[in-house]
Amino acid sequence: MLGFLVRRILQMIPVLIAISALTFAIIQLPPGDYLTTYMAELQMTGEAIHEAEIEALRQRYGLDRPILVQYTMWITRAVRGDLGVSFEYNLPVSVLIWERIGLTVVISVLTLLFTWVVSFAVGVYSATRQYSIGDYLATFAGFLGLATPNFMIALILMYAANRFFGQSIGGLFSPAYVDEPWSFAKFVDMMGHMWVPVVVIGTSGTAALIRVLRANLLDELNKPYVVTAKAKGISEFRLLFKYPVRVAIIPFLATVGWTLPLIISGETITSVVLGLPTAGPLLLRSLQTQDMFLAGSFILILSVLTLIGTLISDLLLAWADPRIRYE
Amino acid sequence: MQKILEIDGLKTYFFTDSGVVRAVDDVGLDVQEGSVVGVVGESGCGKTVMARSILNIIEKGGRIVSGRIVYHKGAETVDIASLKPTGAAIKRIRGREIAMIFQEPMTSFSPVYTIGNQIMEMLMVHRRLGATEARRMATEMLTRVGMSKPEQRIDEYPHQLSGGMRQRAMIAMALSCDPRLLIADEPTTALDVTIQSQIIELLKRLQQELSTSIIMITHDLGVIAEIADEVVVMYLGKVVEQAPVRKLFRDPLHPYTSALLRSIPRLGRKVEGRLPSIKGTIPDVRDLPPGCYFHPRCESFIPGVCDAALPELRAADDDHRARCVLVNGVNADD
Ligand SMILES: Nc1ncnc2c1ncn2[C@@H]1O[C@H](COP(=O)(O)OP(=O)(O)OP(=O)(O)O)[C@@H](O)[C@H]1O
Ligand SMILES: [Mg+2]
Repeated sequence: MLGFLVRRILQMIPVLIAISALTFAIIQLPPGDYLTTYMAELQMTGEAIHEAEIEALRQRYGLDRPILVQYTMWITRAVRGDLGVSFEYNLPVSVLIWERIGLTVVISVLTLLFTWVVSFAVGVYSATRQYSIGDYLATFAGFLGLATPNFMIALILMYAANRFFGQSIGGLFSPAYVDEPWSFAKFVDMMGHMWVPVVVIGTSGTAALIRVLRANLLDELNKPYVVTAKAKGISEFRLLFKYPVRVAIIPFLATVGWTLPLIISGETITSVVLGLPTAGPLLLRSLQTQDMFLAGSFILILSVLTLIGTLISDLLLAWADPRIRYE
Repeated sequence: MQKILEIDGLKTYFFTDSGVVRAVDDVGLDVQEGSVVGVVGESGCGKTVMARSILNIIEKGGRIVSGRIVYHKGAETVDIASLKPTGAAIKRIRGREIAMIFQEPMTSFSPVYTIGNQIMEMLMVHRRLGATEARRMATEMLTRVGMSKPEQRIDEYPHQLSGGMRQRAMIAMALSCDPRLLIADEPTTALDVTIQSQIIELLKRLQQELSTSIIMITHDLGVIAEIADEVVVMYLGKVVEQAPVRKLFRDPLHPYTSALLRSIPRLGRKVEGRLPSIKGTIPDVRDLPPGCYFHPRCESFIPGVCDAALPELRAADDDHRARCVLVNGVNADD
């Protein structure tokens, strides 16, 4: 297991380098460099340009040095937490993104838990009562969930909440808390809003996972080791959960790896519709306005988080399945 | 000697979309305390379904339609066929009183638990032992079945063991609660020849040491010759012949048994050409021939008799019976 861990972490290094190089390339993509853009900004707002300040910035970003040096300087600063400045907001990138990334991670984790709990319960029920009315209902609901675009579900939920409960369910906070500093009350308020994005974003993943679990479990239920376990005279509950279910849920662990990227890339529209202060909408906006330090930082951090997610899911898989561990 | 198991008129059918499969159709056999009953027959004749009926663990779609499976425990008797398959009564019998080992040592253990875990579970559930004590006993059982380095092997996963070692572990698990009857469903079929004989030797030795009764299911008469006291020959869900092992080998009554005997390779006998195998193919259980099920393949087929009615199991003497009109002459019983 230790060997596996070390091997797996070493494998991440080239990927990390590739990701950072790619991110840097993206930052460099728009014509001109950071300073030309900055000066254009200043001119537009009619502010005076101080030669000394420009020169200091040029030094700082190494703009007259070779591209490789610029990359090295950039990545060194990034690792120290200096991610550059957003032109659009005129604020350091780090001020803008951490809260959003934090909220995105929280939504991801909660969505993952929601997906697991619901698909576990429904999947096990469906497989153990194959072709029962409940199984058909679950299958029907599952396909409906898979086929409906998430932003649709979001709109329907918002409409229903507004129409029947007179409630606005957009955003993650009540208006009173939006600009407040973090407090326990704000946290409670957030949790009250959280279920909407979690349900909306989690639905299709849940539906997919139900199908996976049902199919796997039906497969496992007929394996010889289940017959062996039956012949041992253990209780029905233990028989089901210790043996076939234990093997059938292994794919759950793989979802740890893809939930975060799914939420960033796939759910941006949902986040826009729901007005969520998460990473997706700001990333989208930064790309539209060519706010490259902001966009680049998002891409870098989210890629790293995704990589970590994949690492965790691989470790969980190895832990859960000795056949992988001892390869 | 005392009977520990009496099966009588057992019928286990599967109700499928394409018809009723009479996998076990009126089977009877007795198991004496400390003896080995061999069950032979070609693939698909219902051996496994019969074995699983004894533990009442029949696959979905199938059930015991009629018959009795009476288990004797001292003065107590239980009819297993009448117990609820998910009830508590049958669970006290499974593993504890009657244990089973299977054909595929590769897939018969769960891949995600160590063999130690799976053996200890048996002891913890039935004997209510704590983990330490269960582990000690599991190690002891592994030593007993000839597992090398049992202390280390107990923490290994099934895929880390060879086929023969896995089957030894399976035997250790089955015998861990000291059951009175062991059902071995083709325990050597998936193993290579040298390992096969080691496993049979092991079962024989343990059977004598522990005086466990065994139902040995196989399609290999060589295995039967080595280990069984009594033999039951099955064909398409029915018992076609039943005899003590010597009688059966010396004096088979049913043409099917004779044909099976002719198809065993013998050491020292020169094989000229191919081994004789039984001609024709096994009919589909859903579409059985009229009369004796074996008549289309039988060398002693008598037109007008064998294809007219299914013969009863007839007694040639007090412990030898066969389902054939040739027993005691064609019209002996009518
Ligand atoms: N779940 C099931 N559904 C329908 N038919 C079944 C089922 N299980 C077994 N059968 C049928 O019952 C008959 C007996 O099967 P069984 O597995 O007992 O044969 P066997 O004697 O053990 O053969 P083998 O030597 O191949 O193990 C076969 O015709 C088989 O097709
Ligand atoms: Mg079988």
